[in-house]
Amino acid sequence: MRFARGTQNRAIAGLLALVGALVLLGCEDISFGEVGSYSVRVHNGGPQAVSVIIQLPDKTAQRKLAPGALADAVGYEKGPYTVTIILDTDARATYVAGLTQLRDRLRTAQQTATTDELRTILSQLPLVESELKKLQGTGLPACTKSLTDQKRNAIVGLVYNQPVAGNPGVWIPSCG
Amino acid sequence: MATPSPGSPGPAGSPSSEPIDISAYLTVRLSVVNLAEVPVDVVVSLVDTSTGDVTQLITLVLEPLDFESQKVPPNVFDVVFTVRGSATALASCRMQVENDDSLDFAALDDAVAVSKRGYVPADRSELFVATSTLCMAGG
Repeated sequence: MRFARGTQNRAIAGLLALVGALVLLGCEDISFGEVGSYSVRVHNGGPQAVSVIIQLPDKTAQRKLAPGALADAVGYEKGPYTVTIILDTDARATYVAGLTQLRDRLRTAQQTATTDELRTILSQLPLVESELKKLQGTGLPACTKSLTDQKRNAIVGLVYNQPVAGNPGVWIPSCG
Repeated sequence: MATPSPGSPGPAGSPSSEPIDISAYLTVRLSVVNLAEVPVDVVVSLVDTSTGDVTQLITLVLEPLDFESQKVPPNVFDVVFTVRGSATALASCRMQVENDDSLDFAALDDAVAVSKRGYVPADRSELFVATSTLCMAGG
């Protein structure tokens, strides 16, 4: 399995950087090529945009994918990964409203903010990830598999079956 | 030396071996949420302060409201935010991160907020990358 050149370049740059970091940390004996990367690529093959959460052992990524768009999540720790489709539910609306409120507070803080307001904002920033985890729990699990040394790259395709005869449309994942 | 591609088993000419498990070194958490109305690209690079070398580690392509968190090794990092299509950076931050640090960034249309868990700033200048002392590593 080979990814597009840009993805490879990014991953290789990441490997180089991690090797450099390990050398700085005292692991001088390691050589280039021994540090693995593990990636999940999600492709939206449907006719409409879709939001997904890609969870790797060392990464959480939430992406909105236009029709035909790709999202790559590259990590450096093997283990289980999941891809979750986020549907337009009340939970998503609540999550988005929370982000909008945070944005408004930050904009206001650019002009004026008391110490208490600053503390409120700063306490909210780390909550984005925990709120995203809650949203993940309400989503549609698309794939749950593992990235291993034998299977370092995964591709997840999403296609959409249109509503037919009163039945709602449905996303169909393929987990490669 | 041949450049290995992601997923290749090891250096050219060497027997296949399991990659080093570096998870123990990934002790720092960086997160970015794009609260701007436009797409924002984020490049995270490792900085070798002894040589000045900067090595790109992560490139994030974030649509509005997209989020990403990633564990990284402790080091000095450059984090550069650019509105997609813009020739100039929206903001950039050079920061020293230590074991177990957790950094959160939030991109706006004209600024980027930064916070470090456990760090309580004295005034609002500390909230934004352009003026925060968190982003002044290496002078």
